[in-house]
Amino acid sequence: MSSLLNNPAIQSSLLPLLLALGLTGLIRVTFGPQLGGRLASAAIAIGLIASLILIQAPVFPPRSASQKLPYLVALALVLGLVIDSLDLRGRILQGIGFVLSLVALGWLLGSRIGRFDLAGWVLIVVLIAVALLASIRSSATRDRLDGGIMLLFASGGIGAVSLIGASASIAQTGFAMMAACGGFLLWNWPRVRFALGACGHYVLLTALTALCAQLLFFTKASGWALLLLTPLLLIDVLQAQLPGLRNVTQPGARALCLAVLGALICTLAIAVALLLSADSASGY
Amino acid sequence: MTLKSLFTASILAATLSSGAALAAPANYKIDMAHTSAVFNIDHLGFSTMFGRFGKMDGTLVLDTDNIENSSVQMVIDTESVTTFHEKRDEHLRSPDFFNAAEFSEMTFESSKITKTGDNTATLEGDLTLLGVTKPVVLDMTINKIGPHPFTQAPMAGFSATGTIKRSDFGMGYGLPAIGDEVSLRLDVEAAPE
Repeated sequence: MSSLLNNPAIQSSLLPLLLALGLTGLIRVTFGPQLGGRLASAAIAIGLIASLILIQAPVFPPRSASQKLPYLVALALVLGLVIDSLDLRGRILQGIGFVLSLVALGWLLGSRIGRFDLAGWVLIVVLIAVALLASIRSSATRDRLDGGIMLLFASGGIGAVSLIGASASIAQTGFAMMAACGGFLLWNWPRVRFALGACGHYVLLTALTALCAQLLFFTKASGWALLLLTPLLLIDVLQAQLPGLRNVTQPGARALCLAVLGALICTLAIAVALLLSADSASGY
Repeated sequence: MTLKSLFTASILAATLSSGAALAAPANYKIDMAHTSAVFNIDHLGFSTMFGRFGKMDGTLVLDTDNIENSSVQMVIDTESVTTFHEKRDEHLRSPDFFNAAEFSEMTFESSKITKTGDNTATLEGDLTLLGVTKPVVLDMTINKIGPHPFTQAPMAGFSATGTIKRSDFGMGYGLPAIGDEVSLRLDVEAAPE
């Protein structure tokens, strides 16, 4: 059993997927249709935290960005539980999500602010802008599959780009987020049963912001490849604009259209990351 | 010899010897061309991989008469880690292991040297890695203190070996597949400044 759990592929795919899948149903059964439905996306957070613990045992006090991630995810989960329990939506939901992203950036990069050059400040501004966009888009699409699909592909894309940028643990974390999100989304295909609540929304957004900051400032991952993942936050808008796809309105088929668009955007970003990394790509 | 002259001679000898002891510790300049920090680690149980750091700096205060009065301080550039495999080196510099962008330095500062034999001692000190400082004990061998064979300039050289657990320093990625215990070896060659 322990050798199974030590397997990186299990840690970042099967385990979070099965945990999120099982826990989503368990939360719904335990807390009933109303509260259980609102809290169901906490399963994403629990699946991810289980993976993080296995990928790298938590350290206290945390010193590096990687060590801070489980604490940020736990904070996002707690805040998400409060918001979902109170059934708060709209600006409060968005605002807290965005503030969590800022907290993540501040905690990870705060001690280095004095040493940022112009490029560093540009990256920070771009990160904040993308975090704001992600927060707005996720909360706007919470009652449809769109929000979950965009965050699923964003997680997977970041995992793949970081694997090329030579950080296996960040790659594993990205894939674990993708798998946990996928486990939750399986309950919602083709018909949406549970909205992507604040628990799932906050945890994924906070972790994605933290991973992007870590990749951009502490690794050689391609910033251009990461930037190319940004259109994932607008796949529902893209789908509505593209001829041939905009007429697909049946929920199951529409979800598949969005998934295809997500896969294409990820493929483009991965290709750029591979091209830019040339000889220095990871894998040995 | 009278009692008075014997007393005077004793005072003089004590003064000279204490003066000599106080003067003995000297600053040595570490010769980086002949100094190395090397590590070994188990890889999946199949092999033992080794690596070294190509860039470091340090200070050595050496008392050739009493090694226990000596001290050493080393600063190692984590970005300079090399295992003679570029892709693996990149991975070692990443947040998974040495996290060189966040923690660019690894330091060792000795706190105590205890003589254990004619040319051996234990070297105790604090190792700081990934922002975590832990005490470590290294077995030290004083290889040679004496004139350089070609230049006749005074030289000193020692080796120190020991083992640390990387998880103690928060370097937990890949455990237990990639070993927790890391063998260290530090070789230093130095000359008086």
